[in-house]
Amino acid sequence: MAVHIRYRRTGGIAGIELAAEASSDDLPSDQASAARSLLAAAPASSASAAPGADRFSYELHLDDGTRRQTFHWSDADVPDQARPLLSALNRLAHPS
Amino acid sequence: MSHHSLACILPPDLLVRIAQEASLDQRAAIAQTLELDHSFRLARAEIAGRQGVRPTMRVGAPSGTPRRFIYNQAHSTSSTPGTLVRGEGQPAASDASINQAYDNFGYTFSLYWDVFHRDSIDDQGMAINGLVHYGTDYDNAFWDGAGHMFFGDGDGQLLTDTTKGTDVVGHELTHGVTQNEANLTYSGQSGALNESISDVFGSLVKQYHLGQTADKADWLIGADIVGPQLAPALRSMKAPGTANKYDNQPADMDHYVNTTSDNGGVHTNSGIPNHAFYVLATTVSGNAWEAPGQIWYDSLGDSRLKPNATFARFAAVTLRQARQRYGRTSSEADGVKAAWDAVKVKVR
Repeated sequence: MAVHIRYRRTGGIAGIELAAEASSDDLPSDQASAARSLLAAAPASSASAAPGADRFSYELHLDDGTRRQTFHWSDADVPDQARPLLSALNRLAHPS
Repeated sequence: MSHHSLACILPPDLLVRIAQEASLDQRAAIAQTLELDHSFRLARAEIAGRQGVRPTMRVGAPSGTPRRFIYNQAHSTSSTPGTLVRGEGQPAASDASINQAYDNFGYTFSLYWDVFHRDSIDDQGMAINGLVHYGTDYDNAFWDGAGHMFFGDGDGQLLTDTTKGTDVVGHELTHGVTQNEANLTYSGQSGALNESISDVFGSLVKQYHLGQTADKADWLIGADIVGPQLAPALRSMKAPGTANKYDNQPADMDHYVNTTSDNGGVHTNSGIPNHAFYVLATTVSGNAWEAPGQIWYDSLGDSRLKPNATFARFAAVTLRQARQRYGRTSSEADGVKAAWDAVKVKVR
């Protein structure tokens, strides 16, 4: 089943907000399955404030019609398996 | 407290190197040491800063020489330093990013040492670590709060190689200075002040390196690292809101942006104190790193500047510092008052 994805990246030294909206069908199969497994994962905990400055923050909403998950990550706590998905979404995203 | 004694002998960058080759248990111990060492350094710097005197104990005599270490992340997103590719005093590498990071660390160290007599980020000769080629097409450079600056290569559209920006490197390392001084909370007005102080000193690093007076400087931030989408720059201290087509920075309090995004718009509302500094520097004229930079630097280390400071509180501290150093009726003190008036921040 297709997962509907809403994505937002904020912060960074440029302070430019990027946003994308996509279906998992639009993504390469590895990233599409990453989105499906994140949706099936345990409920997301919210991001802790990471030390330092100018880090990116990521917001990811996943919805397949029956399940819904929202993730908030700082660059410091993005899980490794989610990084290629975020990279793919960055390529689809535009400054907003 | 064996960790403390270890921390006094071994530089933190060496500990990080050891940790890379250590077992899991050893890593945990070393991580704890680094944390302790970091809090120890922070506490020491805090005491020194708050009392306004130099501590009698330090690791070595102040030397006026930075301790720079550049690591190649080779596109990894690991936050552990990769291969050490250039240490202090070593010859240039074949990779331009390595040399640009090294040189820009040097220019930043020089501004703080030559002008403000500050010995590195913590005023204790702290090592400055640069991690280049972080991630793939990574559109950012950031400070990790623990002695490391991370550099992305950019995607070529929004940003290009971030090691090229002298002001960008000055900006990131100044986040470390702020952390050791007022420790401004990275949210809302105090967060925007934190950002602005990084833009101010980032710009001063570039102006000092180029030998530019206030009237000759472009007062842009990031002009050397933007791609076509963000050209000509990330921000303008002279004319906030005009640096690129997405720039929505306000230039005065009437246009302060209330938002939950980006920690309450820390990269947006920084336009207000940025422009105040520009007005001061161009009113006083000459080298911006002299009286204007000195007033801002003194204010950052003033114990009356609390982590949750508002713009108005910071403005009051700058006026007090200007009056104290240059006199109540000095042109510098008048310039500070005029600068905050220009951005509609009430100052008493």
